[in-house]
Formats: sequence, structure tokens, C-alpha cells
Amino acid sequence: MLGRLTIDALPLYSAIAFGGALVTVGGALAVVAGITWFGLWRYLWNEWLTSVDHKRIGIMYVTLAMIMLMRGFVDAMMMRSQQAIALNSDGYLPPEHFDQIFSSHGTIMIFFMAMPFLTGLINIVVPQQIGARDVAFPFMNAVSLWLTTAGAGLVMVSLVIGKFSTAGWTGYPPFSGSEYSPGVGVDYWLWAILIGGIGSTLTGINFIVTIFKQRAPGMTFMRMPLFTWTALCTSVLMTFAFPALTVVCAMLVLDRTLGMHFFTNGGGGNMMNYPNLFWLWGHPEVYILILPAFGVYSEVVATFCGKRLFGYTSLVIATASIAILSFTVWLHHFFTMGASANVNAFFGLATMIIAVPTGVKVFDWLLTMFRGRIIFHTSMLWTLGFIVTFVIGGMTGVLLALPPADYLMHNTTFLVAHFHNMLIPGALFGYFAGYMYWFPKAFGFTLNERWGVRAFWFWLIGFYLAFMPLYALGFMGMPRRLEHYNIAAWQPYLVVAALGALMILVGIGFLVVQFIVSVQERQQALDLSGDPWNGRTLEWLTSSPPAPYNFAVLPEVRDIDAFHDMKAGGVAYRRPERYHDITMPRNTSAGLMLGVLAGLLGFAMIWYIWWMAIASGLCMWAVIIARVYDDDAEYVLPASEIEEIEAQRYQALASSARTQTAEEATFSNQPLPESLT
Amino acid sequence: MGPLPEDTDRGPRSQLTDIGRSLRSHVTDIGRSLGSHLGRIGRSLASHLGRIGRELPGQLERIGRGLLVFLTHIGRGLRSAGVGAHRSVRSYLAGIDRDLRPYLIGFALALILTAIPFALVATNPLPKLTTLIIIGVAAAIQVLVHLRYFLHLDLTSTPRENLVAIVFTAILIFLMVGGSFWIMFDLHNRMAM
Amino acid sequence: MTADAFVAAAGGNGDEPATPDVYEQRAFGFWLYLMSDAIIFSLLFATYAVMARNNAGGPTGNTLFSLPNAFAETMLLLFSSITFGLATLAMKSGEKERMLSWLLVTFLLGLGFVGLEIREFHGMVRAGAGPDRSGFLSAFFTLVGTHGLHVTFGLIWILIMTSQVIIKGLTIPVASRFLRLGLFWHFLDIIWIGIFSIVYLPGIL
Repeated sequence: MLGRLTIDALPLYSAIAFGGALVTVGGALAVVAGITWFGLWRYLWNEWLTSVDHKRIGIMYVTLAMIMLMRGFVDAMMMRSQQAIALNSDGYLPPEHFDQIFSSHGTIMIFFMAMPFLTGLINIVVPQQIGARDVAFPFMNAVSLWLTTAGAGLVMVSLVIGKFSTAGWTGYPPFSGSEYSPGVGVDYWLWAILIGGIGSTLTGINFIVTIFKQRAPGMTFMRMPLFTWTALCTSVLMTFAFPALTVVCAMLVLDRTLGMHFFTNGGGGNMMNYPNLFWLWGHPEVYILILPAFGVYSEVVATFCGKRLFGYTSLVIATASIAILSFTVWLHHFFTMGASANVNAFFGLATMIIAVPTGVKVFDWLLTMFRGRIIFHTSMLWTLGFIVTFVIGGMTGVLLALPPADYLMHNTTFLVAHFHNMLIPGALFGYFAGYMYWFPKAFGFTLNERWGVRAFWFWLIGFYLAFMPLYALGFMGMPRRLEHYNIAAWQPYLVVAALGALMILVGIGFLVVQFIVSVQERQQALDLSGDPWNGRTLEWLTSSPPAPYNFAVLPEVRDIDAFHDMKAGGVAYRRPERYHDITMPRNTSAGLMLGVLAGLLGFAMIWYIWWMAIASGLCMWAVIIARVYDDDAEYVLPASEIEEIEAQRYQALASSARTQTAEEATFSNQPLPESLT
Repeated sequence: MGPLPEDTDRGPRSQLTDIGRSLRSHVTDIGRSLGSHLGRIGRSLASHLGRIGRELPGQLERIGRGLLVFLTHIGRGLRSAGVGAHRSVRSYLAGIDRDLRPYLIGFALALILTAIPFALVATNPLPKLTTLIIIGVAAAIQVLVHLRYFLHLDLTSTPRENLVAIVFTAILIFLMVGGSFWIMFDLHNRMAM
Repeated sequence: MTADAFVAAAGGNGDEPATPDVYEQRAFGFWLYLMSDAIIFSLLFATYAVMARNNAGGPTGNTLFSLPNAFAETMLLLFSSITFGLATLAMKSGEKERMLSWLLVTFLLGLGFVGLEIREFHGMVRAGAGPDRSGFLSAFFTLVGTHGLHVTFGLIWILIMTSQVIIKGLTIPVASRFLRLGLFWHFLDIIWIGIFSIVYLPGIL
């Protein structure tokens, strides 16, 4: 009836696990209770859960990312504290639990924190930056969101029912096969990333078509903002790399569930095919994570130095090169697993080559800052912290690219330090910068600067404290994923690392405080003009938050930095003579339903509840087919309503300091943004 | 010639002379008669031949012309049959609409490109490697045939972004599959896996 | 249906630039999906090639594959591509009845293909050569089975198309959806070329 699900699945065997389950269930109940208390269910359903508006979907993605950041960071704190005390002792975490923690930490941070964060930013910003009214496939966009959420949900459920994988976030067989991991852990991992991965593939397709086909008149490819360029390359990577993950996870599912022999020890299995296929996806994936961050940095640097980006063409070519080269380096993740010197040499060389375009981008940013008038908005702080720290991490990457050197450092904490050096100051700082940069556009008021600056410094110093010791430890020979150790020389470093993690915890706390304070003080920080930073790209032309249709009249683009060009020419805020009807996609619950059903399907496949798997599969088909027959998927927003919305917009504009004449558009003539005075 | 005189007592020599004289006159008569007959025949023949000779070119001309006309009729008939056949195949292909043509061409090519590998495997006349190469080449060509004639992919009418997408996919497949082969067969050689 | 007709039907409003052609976008998006599917199949092919000799002492392709069966399946799919093309032409000239007839033929041919394949798989499983017997067989069943699953989804889509044509008629959205089904169907025939060239023929040789 319930497959292999029994009462033993509840985490009653360990106090810590029970605590985790309590927090999860308690948190979910608290959220439900809060929504009920404030009577927000109808609002939530109509305005958010059934929305196909890319701006709303983007905000929901970022919200998911922030929640999962907390969850993943709890894992990090537990690991750091365990390692700080576990010299010649068992610490407080038994090995099997520790293994689950490092596995879920990686899985959550990559699939359910970083991916949703970058996808959310792309969703909110890109259609506005290209002067479009929506993405190409709004319904599919909603489906992507809810599939990702279903995957995250499965990982959260694993805290309460059953256990998570102990095979790391990469899940190498044969350890992750049914012989050595017979429980449900690896299955949770597999189905979570399979379902989430489908969501990402669909997002990739969606944004390639959007960027190719929905650009405003006059916006050629070489006039697109850099964030859009990086979004395009990221979407290409998503579309073409995620199929490899789907294949390899499906094969492992087949091995585990149907007893096949893709990766088994005997029976004709070939376990090395797993790392090969996994990293065919895995390397493009890390470029998926970093490219949008690079895009954010480009926008932030241009805006807060008041200058056009230096070397636009080189930035575009560098981005495209990184995207293509990312498909040629994947073996560097398993240099030590038996390949010959020729193979290692080829991939090592390719890995070193791919560092070059990133270097080009760093120089372009530095040269943009040169002779600019830098405003140290928090987003700019994140950017400066990134440039210094990421370059250090990049250099350790070039060191690791040498196969003989990698033989010494593979799977040590040196590697752990390297990739966190890439992901935290590289990707995460970029997402934070984007979050703070575009927050007013999404919500209509700016974030509190003071708390933002504090959060930044704690994150930056905390990062250095947490990970620089790990480089040293790697050189000293400490392997990764150690639950306890007996070399006393390591402990001081690990204690410092734990302190660093504490500082980051404070940094996260400050981010939460920043949000709460900003909400409380929002009336004093309203963004009336839609352009709080004197921005250069088209998303700043819309109101904050934008109307559902973004632009009542599609802008005509004549140059790079289209909005800056419009302001300089005095045509930015021209009122049109008349408005036209606009066709908008209707809200629908089908996306949410598909997500829920996908989650149920995953859960059923994990616990071998076959009737539930078949039923949810058939229901998903039914929803899709019903959607195909739906003729009523759009509605017309009449011109009169648009005129009212726009009238309000122009009123707000008039009451802000943003009516520009040509002379006023020069940088030196700008008043500082209100929030910075 | 009347009866011989009363020379009844003339001797045998005179009798032979008489016979001779009589033969001679007979032959002369026959000859003269024959000659006039032949002359008559000859003259008649000559006049006939003359007539025929005069009319023969005309006759031949008529026969020739008639033959020519006949052949022309046949020829025209054949040509129009041929053209008609060609045109009707063409018009069958171009058909009521010329959109059917690519499907039929593609179909024919696909059949051939399928038949060859299957036949080679069924009868196995060539060394294995050669057969494998032929299978591969036929498959590659047939994929192109499908893309061109069934999916209507060509360099002019297909939107550029679709072409970019398929070229990019082809490059990626080459990298991914090629790289995987290199890695996995290298591992196979080094580590027997 | 030319692109212009689609755009005109999608409707621009007066001096506003016409709305981006929705059907062109859907066709391009579907094409991108097919490209991602091509990557999936190419990796399945690569895995098969790597594992083709891993029969763990069990049966090999030589003993299991049937040349006549593979040929029959090939012909069924190839003919179904043609009949789909004929259905497409009928749709372009607006002949609903002829289109549905050819679509029905396509469906039957595809159904025949799936039937033959199920019979083949069933026979192999019964003979102890199921996907859990060896790595080679796991790769075989997954590669060929994934293709068969795609064909099955295509058959379901044909049924949906048939009902949509009957209920709604040959409207532009229906036609656009039908053309995408065509892309899908021909794409599957292309994958099948790979399958018989890489799996069946070398396996029998």
C-alpha cells in the first residue's frame, strides 16, 4: 500500500535528526498559520501561486533561494562545528549523519539555492532589459518554477521522512548504487535533481527564445545589456548541459530501481561512465552559476561608475567563449581516476585556456572603474569584494588544472576552498549584488544601505576566515568530508574556519535584519521614478514595481545602454498620444498542480509506492492535455485601463527628481540617489 | 520453196545440201522471228522501263514520303508518349503541388540507403570493417536526407537561428560523444574497465 | 501557412509593431527542445557504444537481434514518415478528411512499430535477456526503450491532434501544433536511423 514506507522512516533514532524534522515541520506549520492568521490565502493564490508573470515568478524563485540558503547554511554550521571539535573524538555527529549533511549541503546550495537565485534574477530583469512585455512561454515559466520547488520540497521532506543520501552531492557509484546504499537517501537525491533539472532545461529554452525573438525594435544583439548576454549564454548552457544530468540520473535510477547494470560492480557495469556523464553536465553547470553573476557585476560597475562599460565587444566574446569552452574541460574533475597522460594533458590545457576570458572580463571591469566616479553602493561593495577574492580563487583553479598538481590536491580541503572561493565571492556575491541592485525595481522601495554594508563586511571577512585555512589544510594533506581526525596540527585552522562560519551566520542575520528594516521604513525609501540609481539599461524605464505589461509602448533602441541614450536624448519619459490594447496571459493553477504532482511522483518512486506513482503520472498527463485544449489562456487589457495605470506612473514620476533634460543627463550633474544621502 | 527438181538421181551430197539449205532457212526464219519477237519484247520492255524509270523517282518519292510521314507519326507519337510519360512522372512528382516532390525523393533515397546496409548485413559479402563503414556512411547520408526532404531544412528558407541551433548541437554532440569515447576507451586500455 | 499569415492572424494593433509571431516562437522553442533531446539520445548512444561488449557472459546482440524484425520496424517508421508528410500536405491545402485519413495511417504504422518492439522486448525478457542481465542489455533496453517511449508519446499526441482537428477544425493554433508534431515524428525517425545503424546492424554482423 505504501511501498517500503514504514514508521521507521521517522527520525526517532537521533536527537539531532529529530530536531531537524521538528524545525522543518514547525517552520512549515508556522508559515501556514501566519498566512491563515493574516487572511492572505486568496491573495496568495490569485496573485502569486497561479501567476505566470515573469516578475512574480522571479520573486518566488529568489524567495525559494533565500529559504534554502538558510537550510544549506545550517548544514554548513553543523559541519564546521563538528570538524572544529572532532580531534581524536567523535564530535556530536555520527558519521552517517555527517555524510548526509555534506551531501545535502552541496545539493541544496547548488540546485536549490544558486540555481533558483540566478533564475529568479534572470526572470525579473531580462524581459525588461530587452524591452519586452513577457517571456516567450509564460506558462512553461511557471512550470519550471514549480518543478524546482518540488525538487526542493523533496529534499526538505527527507528531513522528516526517511534519510538523505550519504554519497555526496555528486553521488558516485558503486557507493550510490543499490548494493552499498540500499536505503531511500540516494533516491531522494536523484528524484530531487531530476525533477529540478527538467525545470532548468525548460527555463533555458524559454529564455533563448525570449532573447532571440522578443527584443524591442532596434535592439540588435550587440546592443543588448551585458546581463542579457550572460543570461543568453547561461540559457544555452542550461538547455544543452542538463540533458546529460537527466541521462546519468535516469541511469542510476534504473540501476537502483530496476536492477540494471549501468554502474554496478559486476554484471557488465562501467562505473567510470558515471563521472564522465555527470561532469559533462557538472562543468557547464558551474558556468551556469557564475555567468549571471558576471552579468550583474557588469551592470553594477557601469551604473555605479557612471560610465559605459569598457570593451563591450570583448565582454560579449569572452562570455560566449566561456560558454563554449565549458563543454571541453569536464575531465578535470576526475584527473586522478585513471586516464592516461595524454587525456589529462588535453583537458588540463583546456582548463587553463578557459581562465583567459574571465581574466579579460576582470580587466574590462577594472578599466570601466578607471576614471569613473565610483559610488560605493552596497552592490558595488559586493563587486569589489568579488574582484579581489575571486581572482585568488581563480589562480588556485589554474594550479589545480595541472594534472600532476591535482594528484596532490584532489579531494583535499584545498579543492573545497577553491570551489567555495569561486561560488561564494563569485556567484553568491553577484546574486546578492543583483538582489540589492534590483530590489527597488521588484518591490518599489530601496533596501536599507547601512545593514547591507554590515552584511557585506561580515560575509567577506567571514568568507576569508572560513576558507583560507582550508587552503592551508589542503596543503597539509587533510582530505575533504572528514567526520573526525587525529592530526592535532589541523585543529587550529578548523577552529578559525568555524569562526568564519559564525561570521557568515551573522552576515546572514544582517541580511534578514536589512529586509525587515527596509520593509518597515519603506515609505521613506520609495522609488517613485523607477530609476533609483540613474541606471543605463531599459529595466529602469519601467515603474517600480512595473506594470504587468512592463512597457505600455515598446521602446525604440538606438544604442548600447539604451535607457541612458534615451535620457540623454530627452525622449525617455515621453507620453504617447494613445494607448493600445495589450494581450496578456491569464493566470493558471496548472503550473502549481504539475509541480505538486511531480513532487508526489518523486516521493512515490522513492518509496516504491507504485499506485501513487502511476496515478500522479497520469494526472500530470491529464493536466498537460487539459492545458492543450485550453483556448482561454489569454485576456485583453483594454487601453483605458492601461491609460489609468500609466497616468499614475507619470504622477509618481513627476513627484520624484527624475524629469530629465539633456544637460541633466550627464553624470556630473546627477544628484546622488536619495537612498545614499 | 517448192519440191526439189527431178534431180532424183542426184546423189546424197545434194540431198545434205538441200537439208542444210532448208535448215538454214528454218533457222533464219526462227532467228528472224525470234529477233522480231525479242525486238518487240525489248521495245515493249524498254518502253515499260522507260515509263517506270520516269515514274520511279516519283514513286520512290511517294513511298519515301509516305514512309517518312509514317515514321514521323510514330516518332511524334513516341516523343509525346515519352514526354508525356516524363511529364506525367514529373507532374506526378510536381504533382498537383510541388510540395509532394521532396517527400517522394526523400522516400526513394531513404529506401536505397536503408536497403544497402541491411542487404550487406544479411548476405555479408564484405569484410566486417568495410561493412561497418558503409553502414555508418549510409546512416549519415540518410540523416541528411531526412533533414533536407522531410524536415525541409535548407540554407535559404530555414530561419537562421534554427540552423545555428542544429550546428551548435552537432558540435556539442561531437565534443561530448567524442570526448566520452576518448576517455572511456583510454580507461579501458589502461584499467581494463 | 506562411509566416505572414500567422502574423496577420496574431494581429498587430494599428501603428504598434505587430505582436511577436507566437507560432514562430513556439516552433523555435520546440526545435530547441528537440536539440536537447538529441543530446540525450547521443549520450545514450555513447553509453551503448561503450557498453556494447559488456555482456557479462550473457547473450549478445548476435543471438538476440532479428534482422527481419529490425527491417520491419524500419519500414514501418519510414512509411509512417511519408504518410505524415502526406497528412501535412493535405492540411496545407485545407483538406481535412484526407489529412485525418493519412494521420490514421500514420498512427497505425506507428502502433505497429511499438507493437513489434514490445514483442521483441518481451521475448528477450522471457529468454532471460532482460535489462538486468548485463550492462550491454541495460544500455540496449534504455536506448531503444527511450526511443520507443518517445514514439508512444507521439502516438498519444497524434490522437490529441486528431481530436483537436475534429473539434476545432484546421485553425492556425491547431496547424502550428500539428507542424510541431511533424518535427517530433521525423526527428524520431532520424534517431531510429541511428539505432538500426549502431545497435541492430553491427550487433547482428
